[in-house]
Amino acid sequence: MERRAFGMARLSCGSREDALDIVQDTMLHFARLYAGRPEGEWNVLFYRILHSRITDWYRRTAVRRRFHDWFGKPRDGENDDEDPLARVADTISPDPAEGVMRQEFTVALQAALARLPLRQQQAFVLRAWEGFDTAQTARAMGCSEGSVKTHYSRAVHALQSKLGEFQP
Amino acid sequence: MNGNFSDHEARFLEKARLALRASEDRLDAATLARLRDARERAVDAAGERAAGVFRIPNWMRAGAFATAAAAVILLAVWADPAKQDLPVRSPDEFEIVLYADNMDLYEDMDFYEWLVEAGNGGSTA
Repeated sequence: MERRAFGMARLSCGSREDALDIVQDTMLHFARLYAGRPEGEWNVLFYRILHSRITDWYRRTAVRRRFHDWFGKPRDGENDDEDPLARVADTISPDPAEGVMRQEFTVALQAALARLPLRQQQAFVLRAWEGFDTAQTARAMGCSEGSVKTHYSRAVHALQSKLGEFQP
Repeated sequence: MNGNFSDHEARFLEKARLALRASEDRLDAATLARLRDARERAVDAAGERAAGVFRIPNWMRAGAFATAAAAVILLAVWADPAKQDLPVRSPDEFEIVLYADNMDLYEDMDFYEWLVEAGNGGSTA
C-alpha cells in the first residue's frame, strides 16, 4: 500500500522527499487513529488521510510559490529530482521494444497526470490506480459522488487527448 | 469501474492502470528502505495505541488537571495568611508591633506588669 501511496503523493508533489514525508505522516496518523477500526474500512480511511495531506501540501506550496514569485526567488525543490522511473530498466516485458514503449507510456502518463488539476488527479488515481468505486472515491476525497464522476470523467478525457499517440 | 466509458476508453484505462501498478515495482532501494522504515514506525505506533487501551483518556486527564488546579486555588484562598489570627489582639497594638524599637518592651510586657504590681516600678532592676 505504501508504494502506491508514495506514487500518488509523488505525482502530486513532484518531489521524492515531500512524497516520502507525506506517506510517513499518513501512515503514522492512520496507525494512531484508525488501527482499531474494522479492516474493511482501512483502505478508504488511509487514502482519505493521504489525499488530505496532499491537499494541505498543495495549498502550502501554492502560497510559498506566490511568495517566491513576488520576490523573484528561486523555488525550493524546483525540478530537484528527475523521475527515477526514466532511469530504471523495464524488467517486466521480455520484448525490449515493447518494454521501451511501456516505459515511455508510463513516463508520459505520469507527466500528464502531474499536470492535471489536483481534484481530477485524485479522482483518477483513486479510481483507475487503486480501483475504488465512485462511493469509495467520494469518501476518500471528502466530496460528493457527483463531484467524483465529474472530476474523473474530465481527467480521463484530458489524459486521452494528451496521450493520443499511445492510444491502444 | 469503467461502466460509463466506451470500449476504447476502457482499454486506455486498463493500460493506464497496468502502467501505474507496474511503476510500484520499480522504486529504487533507498525509497523502498524509507517506506519500510515508515511502515515500521506506523506499526510501532499502532502497537503503543493498542497497549494503551486501558489508559486514561486525554479528556479525563485534562479534567483531573483542571480539578486539581481549582483545588489548589481554593485551598490557597481559604488558607490565606491574611485571614489568620493576627499576632496582636487589638488594632491599638499595631502601633506597638510596627514600632520596632519597642518590640523588646512589648515582648517583656508581662514582666513589667508584674514589676508594677509588685510595687517595684520605680526601682532599677
